Amino acid sequence: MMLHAYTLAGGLRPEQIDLMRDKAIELVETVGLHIPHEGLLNRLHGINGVTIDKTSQMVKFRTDLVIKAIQEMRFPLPDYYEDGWVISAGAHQTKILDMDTGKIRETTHKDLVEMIKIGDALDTVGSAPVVPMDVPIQLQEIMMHKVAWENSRRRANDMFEHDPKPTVRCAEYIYEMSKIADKWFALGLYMVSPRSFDVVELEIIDKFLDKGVPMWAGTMPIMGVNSPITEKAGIQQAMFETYACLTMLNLLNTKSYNYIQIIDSFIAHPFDMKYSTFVYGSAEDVRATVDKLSIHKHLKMPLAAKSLLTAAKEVDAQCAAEVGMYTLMAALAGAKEFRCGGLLTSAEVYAAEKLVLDYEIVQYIKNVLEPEEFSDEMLLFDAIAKIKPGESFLEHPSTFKHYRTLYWDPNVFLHSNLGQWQEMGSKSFVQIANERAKKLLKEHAYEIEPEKKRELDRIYEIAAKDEALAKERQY
Amino acid sequence: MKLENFELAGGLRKEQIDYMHEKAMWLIETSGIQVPHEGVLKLMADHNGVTIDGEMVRFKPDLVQKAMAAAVYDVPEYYKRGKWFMSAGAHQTACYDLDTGKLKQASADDLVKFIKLGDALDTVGSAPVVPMDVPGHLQHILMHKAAWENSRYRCNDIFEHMDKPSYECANYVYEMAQAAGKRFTFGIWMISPKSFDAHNLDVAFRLRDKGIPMWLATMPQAGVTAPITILGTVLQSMYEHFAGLTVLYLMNPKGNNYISPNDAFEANTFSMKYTTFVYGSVEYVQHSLHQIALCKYYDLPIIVKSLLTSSQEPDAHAAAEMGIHTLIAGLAGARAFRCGGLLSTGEIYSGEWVVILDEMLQYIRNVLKEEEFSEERLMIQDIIDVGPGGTYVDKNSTYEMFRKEYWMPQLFEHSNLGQWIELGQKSIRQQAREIAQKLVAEHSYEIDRDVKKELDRIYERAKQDKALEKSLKLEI
Repeated sequence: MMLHAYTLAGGLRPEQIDLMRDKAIELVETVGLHIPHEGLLNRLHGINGVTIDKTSQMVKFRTDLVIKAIQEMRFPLPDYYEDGWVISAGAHQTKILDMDTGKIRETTHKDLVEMIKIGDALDTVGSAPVVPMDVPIQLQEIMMHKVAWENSRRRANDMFEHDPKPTVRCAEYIYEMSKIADKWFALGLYMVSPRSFDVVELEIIDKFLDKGVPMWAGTMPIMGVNSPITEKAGIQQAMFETYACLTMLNLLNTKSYNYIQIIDSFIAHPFDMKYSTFVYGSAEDVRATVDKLSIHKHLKMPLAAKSLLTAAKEVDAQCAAEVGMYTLMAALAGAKEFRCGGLLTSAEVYAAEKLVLDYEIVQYIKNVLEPEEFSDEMLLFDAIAKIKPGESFLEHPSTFKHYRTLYWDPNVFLHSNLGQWQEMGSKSFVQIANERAKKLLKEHAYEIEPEKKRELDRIYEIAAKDEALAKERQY
Repeated sequence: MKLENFELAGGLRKEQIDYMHEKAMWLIETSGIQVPHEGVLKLMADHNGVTIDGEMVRFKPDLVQKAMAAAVYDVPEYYKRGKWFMSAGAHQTACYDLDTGKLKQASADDLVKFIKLGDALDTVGSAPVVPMDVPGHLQHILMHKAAWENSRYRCNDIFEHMDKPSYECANYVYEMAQAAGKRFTFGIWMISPKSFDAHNLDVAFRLRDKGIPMWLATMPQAGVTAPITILGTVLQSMYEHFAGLTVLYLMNPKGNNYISPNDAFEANTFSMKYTTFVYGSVEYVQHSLHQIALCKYYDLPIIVKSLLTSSQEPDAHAAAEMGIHTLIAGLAGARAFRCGGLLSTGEIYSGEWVVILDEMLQYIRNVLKEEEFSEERLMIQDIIDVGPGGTYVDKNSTYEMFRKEYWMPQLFEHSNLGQWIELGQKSIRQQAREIAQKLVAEHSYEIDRDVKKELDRIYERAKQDKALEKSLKLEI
């Protein structure tokens, strides 16, 4: 018999979540959201249950439309999701901790390739980790997709990605590449809290409505800034905004399916009034994530958490404390995917050493929570009865049988004692993690089929010469 | 209405512990333990329920139950209040220098500094380091003296586990405790599997007439001195604890005898790769959760060795192990956490690490804090009032609530990259060391002057005592 698996009890109860959901839907119907795009307003005009105030561009959706949108959303989960313990690494950072010098600097195309390879070696998913800042701005996102697809199995290739497509033309190039490479393509719509959108993002949505691509709704209100100061109220606003956005997409994007972004949806982020900066990895951020997971579980949505985030500037004790405790809470609350691997300083910096740490932490927690077998074989009381004072279990058959399988052998959380550590060179944790990252990079072997790569190269070359693309980004 | 507090579900169930309890009792009755001491064997010989065969002693379950029922756990007030606290240090011989950050042997100066630092952070437990620059026979006496002189809680309640390595040493510490009105206990460590250290037992035997509390502990190592499985090692630990406690119960009838909560049902893990025992590992965390379940079952005070790590520095490795271990122990119901400041599986003490741990405990408390759920806190009207392009920064609710809704960390700062660079790019370790130095400099507690004089007088006498010196030389 197995011991009961460890889980988190407490927190939001189903009836409290239902109350928040009902309030959110009510706000969509009575308060509405701002859609600053004539084309989309025209498309919505005349739909039964949609009320538009042309002057203020405020749009309200009747409750049945919201419920319909919720019922029709679809989460195209990849196969690996069910097994859990997935890390999504990076979120297009523009700064990196240099693997050779240890200094923080701007990211390059070389970093993009290397970080994708290291991430792939650790089975990570998600978006491109860094932005190639040495590439012309209009080509950066195209390059991010191209490199991700060329050098990894899962990157930018399922619903866990959220790579930006900042202009219509850029989105079109990426769409074309995805067709050629047979890769994932979806368009995301982040709301601008409170209750509005970025006009350019709406324009891209408008232009892609005929293509039949999946679209998702996301929002990231900041508590005390663009949402109320309490965490629950922040989440309340996020639910309202997400449902409103989803309903709009459901009415407009009828040729494909729409869904709620599983990370940036029913969550609000804390803001530090002392430093006037938003904060990832704080105690309040953890609580918000646990609430979000409770809501997702109750509403039968996928379970993911941005638990690999930290406000720490280095791969240090603060960083590991925040990530470790955050991820444990998320895992106990049922999260299957852990996001923002490799990120430091509230997502300003990417570090390969941090990703190695994140991976180790996730493995550590996975092993802690692995249910133990409770049986006479595991209690070994016959062996205890027979052993005599002064004797040892070292040579007992059960020791030989179990010592490899029952104990986790860590990659970087070494169990050496002081003398052994000194003999091995007194290496710091960052050095150990750095060496592991370099080894993973060296040994990484995956690459896309040559003919697909040639096609991607060809499209990229066209984009590189496309003056309209460059001009569009300048705007 | 209050939200339900977060807690851990799962793990050992009552019926499973019932089963382990029965097995432990069966092992005590059928296999017994070795008591390598003539005097103790004689004391127990005539008791009902005791069977002696050479040095092997077996106890009937009802006698064991009696010993368990007689144990009193005199926990301090702060424990009863449910205060979160740290027990820091366990007499390490190496430490990171608080000024230079270098690894070195601990000295008397370090002992005092670390006790002051610990006191400033309300820590409890044993003396943090051994003063290696003091003669061996005086070290434990000085550790008690320094702890009592410079702190309120150290070496002064059930959460201490100080060694008294010889009878003569124990007598000096006892005399000091009487003079200072401080706690004195004597602890017996079993030698797994199923035995005792004869000398340790002899000191207890000679102290038995003083009517002092005595405690029992054991630390079986999975795969070495106990079975390879964690559950098997926990079972052996239960068996040894209960049997050992029964020995104390019969040997020390004038005093209270109890299982040391500091190491109750301890089951240590061992790395076959490095042939060393390992604290802070995954399996050690699993053991802690069993330990908490058992302490609840037997109504023992809960204190978890969750502040341990196998890392040699106060770094990411250390913080990950400690953070995960402590949070899950907290969710399981623990509020007392042991071995603060220890690195390298207990080989090194670090003042910086104590400061970082204190911050981590604050973090956990804030993650698990109680919270009100109400429509008022959903702030629906504010959501309606603030439209597109608006902000909540200037709302009254923000102004009134931002301080109490959010924890303001002292060390885990929320500055962004630019701000951190402007502030001098200090590492966490640097910042922690500066905090530690400040706390030591500002520490003000000291024992009553007359008591200090008395402790000095006893210590001076101990310095000249050749019998004391000899008693420990024999041991070395």
